[in-house]
Amino acid sequence: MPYRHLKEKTLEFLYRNTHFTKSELEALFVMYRRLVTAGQAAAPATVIGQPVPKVDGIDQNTFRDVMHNTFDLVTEDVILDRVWLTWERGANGGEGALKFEAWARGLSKLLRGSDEERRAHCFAVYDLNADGYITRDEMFTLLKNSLLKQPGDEDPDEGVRDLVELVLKKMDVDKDGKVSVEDYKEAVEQEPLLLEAFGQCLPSKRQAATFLKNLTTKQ
Amino acid sequence: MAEADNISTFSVDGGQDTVGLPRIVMVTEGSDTSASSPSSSSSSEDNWADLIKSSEIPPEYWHIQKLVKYMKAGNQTATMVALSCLKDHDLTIEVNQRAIQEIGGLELLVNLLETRDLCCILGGLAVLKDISPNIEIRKKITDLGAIPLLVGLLSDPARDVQILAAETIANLGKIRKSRKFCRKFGGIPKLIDLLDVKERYLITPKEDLQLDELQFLDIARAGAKALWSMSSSQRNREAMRKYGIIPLLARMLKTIHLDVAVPAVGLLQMCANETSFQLAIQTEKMVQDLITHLANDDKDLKTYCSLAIYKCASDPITRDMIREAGGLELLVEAAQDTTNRSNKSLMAAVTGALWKCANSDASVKRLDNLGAVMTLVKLLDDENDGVLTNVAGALAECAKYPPNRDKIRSSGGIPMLIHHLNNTYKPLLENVPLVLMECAKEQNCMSEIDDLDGVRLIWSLLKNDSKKVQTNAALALSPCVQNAADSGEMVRSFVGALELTVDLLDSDDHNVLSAVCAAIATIAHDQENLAVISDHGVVAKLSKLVSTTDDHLRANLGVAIAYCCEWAQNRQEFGKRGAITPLVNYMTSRDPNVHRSTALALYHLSFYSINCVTMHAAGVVQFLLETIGSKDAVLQEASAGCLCNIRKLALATEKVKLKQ
Repeated sequence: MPYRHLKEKTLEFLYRNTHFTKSELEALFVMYRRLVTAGQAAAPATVIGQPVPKVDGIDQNTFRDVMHNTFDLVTEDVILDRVWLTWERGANGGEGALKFEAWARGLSKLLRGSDEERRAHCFAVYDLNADGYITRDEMFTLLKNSLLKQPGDEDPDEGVRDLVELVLKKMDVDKDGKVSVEDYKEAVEQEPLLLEAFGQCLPSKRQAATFLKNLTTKQ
Repeated sequence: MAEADNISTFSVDGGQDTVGLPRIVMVTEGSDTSASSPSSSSSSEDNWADLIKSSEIPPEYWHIQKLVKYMKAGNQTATMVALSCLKDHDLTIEVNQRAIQEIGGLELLVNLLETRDLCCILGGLAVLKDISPNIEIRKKITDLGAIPLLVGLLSDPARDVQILAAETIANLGKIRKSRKFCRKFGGIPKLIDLLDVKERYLITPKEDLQLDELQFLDIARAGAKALWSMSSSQRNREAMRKYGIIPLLARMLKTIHLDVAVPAVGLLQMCANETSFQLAIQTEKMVQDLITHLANDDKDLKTYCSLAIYKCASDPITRDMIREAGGLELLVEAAQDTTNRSNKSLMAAVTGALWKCANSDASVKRLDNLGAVMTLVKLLDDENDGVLTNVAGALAECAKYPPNRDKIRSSGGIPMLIHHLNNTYKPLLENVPLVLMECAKEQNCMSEIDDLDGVRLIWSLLKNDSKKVQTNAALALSPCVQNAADSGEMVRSFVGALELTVDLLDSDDHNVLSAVCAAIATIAHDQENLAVISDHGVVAKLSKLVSTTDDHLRANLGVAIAYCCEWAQNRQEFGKRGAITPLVNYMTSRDPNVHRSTALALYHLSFYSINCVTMHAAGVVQFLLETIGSKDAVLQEASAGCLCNIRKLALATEKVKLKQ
């Protein structure tokens, strides 16, 4: 059940485990409540006549809207789905709606994460089968739509395959044909541009800063 | 960054097979477009054309073009990947730069600057910074409108962006158009803002600074580099001053970090072309810091410090500050260091600074203690004209102090100086006569100059078309003619010399005229020579000059007229040509030199009675009655003599009247 007010205990816990200040957390809670209510109102009835199932957190549609509109994160559907799936949901795990704690902790990584947190987030998103390695095929899936189809191309995927080879060459430090977490870490430390090499999955720093500023000044 | 129209022609032979990768069909822009690109340097075009023909193009070229193609056709992700791969190539070599240019990469990079995405901007800037040292690319990028975009990025909150934007502007600023655009688009105040860094960061060693504090230093350095580039334009220098760069620059000079000091001092010495900055160096107490940097071993830093000193040492107070801070010692040390000889810009700067600093008596004495004269004379065998000019200038200042004249002679300076009179480099020819002028006042030196035919060479400089050269050569002639042994004979032996001298009286430059008059005054001491110049019409020419209001010219003219009177009918002719009345007018001047020479002239003229009448009518007596009491011996004598002649005439007239 969504709480009406943010419990003091929760606030303390989140304050210690995220990069937000207390006033920011309170503002985020207000925003969360608003989103959930709106999401509830927009949820379609699954069966005619039956009451609408209760939504007790941020569902995927709301999530997608927030990412698009508030954080200006316009990216491939594949990526957005991965972000939704890999979002940390706490001890119970699962892939359901996001409760406030999970929401706050995830946002902390997204908006103010340390380099380590951001790297971990991106890697998890890109590692489609969660086996600890980003392989050629996964890269291909992610980059499939990154090149415009040229009218003169015989094989439109050829460019994408080439691009995949280029990235692999850059990032595969231990030369085992796939990119492990350590490979990724080293490559990104060398060339920060490669952090989101397979698709944008973080809001831009500028966007994050603007959001956070507006968050606390609205109060 | 997708563009729909990036394919121009399809060339089948383009593209080499890269081992291990599937065969890629390259779409390159047709060769006719690249040859018709508006480039000025035809030789590099020829080289490039040869290179293409010989098909020695390395695979990197095609790889780079492929990456640019992906950037054009790709979304943001693909662009980032391609950019990061692009950065792996050495973009400072021409082949790679050409690769980017010829596939339309420049337009793409400039477009990247307009996006709002930080990573694209950073990537694009990094590439631009590396390729912009290439002249053609610089021009092209400027034409594509990169400057206003870069100026906009200078205000970006991300510091990396600011640094890269400033460094790219620094590279582009080598073209005049870029400098103008930067100013027009408000780039100067923004760049000046970048220099605003806490003094603490400037003076703390790098090991003790935090990462973000180091970044502030980088920002300041990038700003300084960009402004240094911009300062080649005079209007930009003016703008910099107006926008308050001076206190920030003064603060930056206190830095201990070499990489920040070099652009800061480089910028300062460029700005020091303006007198306002020269004054600022004095008032903002920058001299001490400049001298501290001068002591640094880095040759470039030494060069720029010396240049700054050269430009600001025309002010006496600054010269004193430089001397007190120990600048002279450092400069002499640098000039004596034989390892510096091959570094011509350093030597020229150091000797130039010595020249300008030597303009004070106290400095000359200090330089003597340091053995500067010997060092300078040794440098007279240098091949570089700039160095020679400055050395000669410095020696001219030192030689004003009599003991140095002999030092120059004993170090073997005279033959080398005379040798340089044959050079055609005008600034050098301005300075060498000045040295010889001082040396000619010393008997031993004069005889050496005479032996080596120096006087003839100086005299021939009067034919040079530079006014300054003419002036200084004429100035040098006076002591030469005065002190040479058998000077009358010597002068007569120079064919056409006297005619040349008299002809110079037709010049319209006052400095030339003053110097020539002084020379004529000394020449006229010899009776035969006086006859010759009278034949050449010296009286007429001198009379024409009498109406001048320039005190310096008046002073020399008076003396010339005085000594030219001592031949035949010259006195009478001066009177007939109406020289007397204006001369009397000279006495109203405030300059004591003018009084002295006018009195001399009037004295010599007064031996002709009609002249006395004219003088008297012009009201000369009242002036002479004053100057008769002067402390100046020459003035006193001349005034007395003149009055005496006037009175004699009056007495004689009385006597004649009485007889009748």
